[in-house]
Amino acid sequence: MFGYITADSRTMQREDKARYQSVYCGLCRRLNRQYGNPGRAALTYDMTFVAILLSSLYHTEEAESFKRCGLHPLRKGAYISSAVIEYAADMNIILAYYKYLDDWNDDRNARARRKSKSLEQGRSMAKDRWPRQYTAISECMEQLGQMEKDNELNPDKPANCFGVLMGEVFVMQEDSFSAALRRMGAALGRFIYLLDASNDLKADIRKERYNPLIAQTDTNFKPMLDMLMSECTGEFENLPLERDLPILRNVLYSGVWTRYLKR
Amino acid sequence: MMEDPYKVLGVSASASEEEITQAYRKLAKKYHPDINPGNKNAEKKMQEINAAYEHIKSNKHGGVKYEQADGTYGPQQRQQQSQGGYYGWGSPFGDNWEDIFGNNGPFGGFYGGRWEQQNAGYSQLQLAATYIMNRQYQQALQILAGIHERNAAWYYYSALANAGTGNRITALNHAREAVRLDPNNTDYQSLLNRFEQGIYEYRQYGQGHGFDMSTMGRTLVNLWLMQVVGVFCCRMCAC
Repeated sequence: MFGYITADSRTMQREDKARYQSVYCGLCRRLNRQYGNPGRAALTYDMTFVAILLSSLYHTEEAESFKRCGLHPLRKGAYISSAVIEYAADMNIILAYYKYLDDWNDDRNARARRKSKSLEQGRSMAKDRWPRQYTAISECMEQLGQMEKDNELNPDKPANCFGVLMGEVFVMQEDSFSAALRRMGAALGRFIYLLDASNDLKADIRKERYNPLIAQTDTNFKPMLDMLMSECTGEFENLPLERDLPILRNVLYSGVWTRYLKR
Repeated sequence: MMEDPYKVLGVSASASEEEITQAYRKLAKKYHPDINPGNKNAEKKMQEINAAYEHIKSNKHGGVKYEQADGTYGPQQRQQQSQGGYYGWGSPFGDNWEDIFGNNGPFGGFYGGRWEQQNAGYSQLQLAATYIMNRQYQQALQILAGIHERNAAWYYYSALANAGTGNRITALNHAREAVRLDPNNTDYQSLLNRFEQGIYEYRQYGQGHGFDMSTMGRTLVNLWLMQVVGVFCCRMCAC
């Protein structure tokens, strides 16, 4: 469910790639600083998108620094620091925690258990900072778990649930943009959830695992997925954004399909 | 429902939820069209299995069919009111689609004359329609759940009620089914078009911004390669 909100670097301009990377690196640095190595290991591109979106929307003040990265010693790249980066890092931690928990619950993967434990402290810190988002994420993940147990075959239910989760993540603070951001995030959440389900369908049938799309008579899910994305971009195009539009559009019109498995 | 649903799934009438789920998945593994592409018999069998499963589930949960919305999970209680103008295209889901249909709502000239000839379920359908007109979608869904005759009109109203409660996939499926069952009905086609308009606009918009919207996604080999290479790659180069 995570790792889908990414850019398609093949079609990006060089400056945009550099910008995208600097936000990603900024997230990484923040995660490492706040949560140590386990935090850094939890980094995904998903929250990079959210960081760029919110920074653009709020004209967030940013500091750009240059540092040699421990993992990429040959590169001296730019990385961004800002309040939005801090927010995105905290969201990243919470989501990663629940992802590992989910993996652990799914197939008792010992590594997942260790990973989720390593994020305990981070999760708790992020929870204190962002109680609303934390509650939404934890409650939604719990409900999703229950739906899996109940073998919920109406795909709207779990999709909407994950949508609520993403919607809350998109809202850093309550303001006049909250409603639109919630709708945009929720639409993206529904899309991601069902894209993931679509990708996993065959394997889940074979392994007799839960999949919300199993009872669908029409297995051409592309139009359905397009419809879900269209709700997201419909909201997006309405937001008063100026900065980083090419990157954001790259993600929403192309990047999110990078891991879509054609049927 | 010709055959005993429990028999179809191969479980006893006293089977637990878990046993029923396991039985369902075992059968799906055998008959699902995804595993049996092109096999018409498997497809038919899968429909039977789905119908049986739905029947059993709805009986266990006191008449609530699985197509129903359950707007009761915590955070979602914060009703996501879709308001305000949409640039370019609008969401046909949630509470804002009346604007799209204009003053007559989705009923226009449909309500009233045409289906008075229907016998069973006539007044129930009309009741559901009334609830929908008053934006009481949950109630409409409850009524619809109790109607056993699933004709085109049923699917039409179900699509509307599901759209109102944010059940996008179900709404789309049911709109398609309504059109399939009654292809000449312009209202049904109109509703389906409304749902599908977003698809068209999304693709157009993406195309307009220089993205090739017709080739989205990867084949299994591509995806695997991407993930294997991804282990070594920083993901930021132009490959």
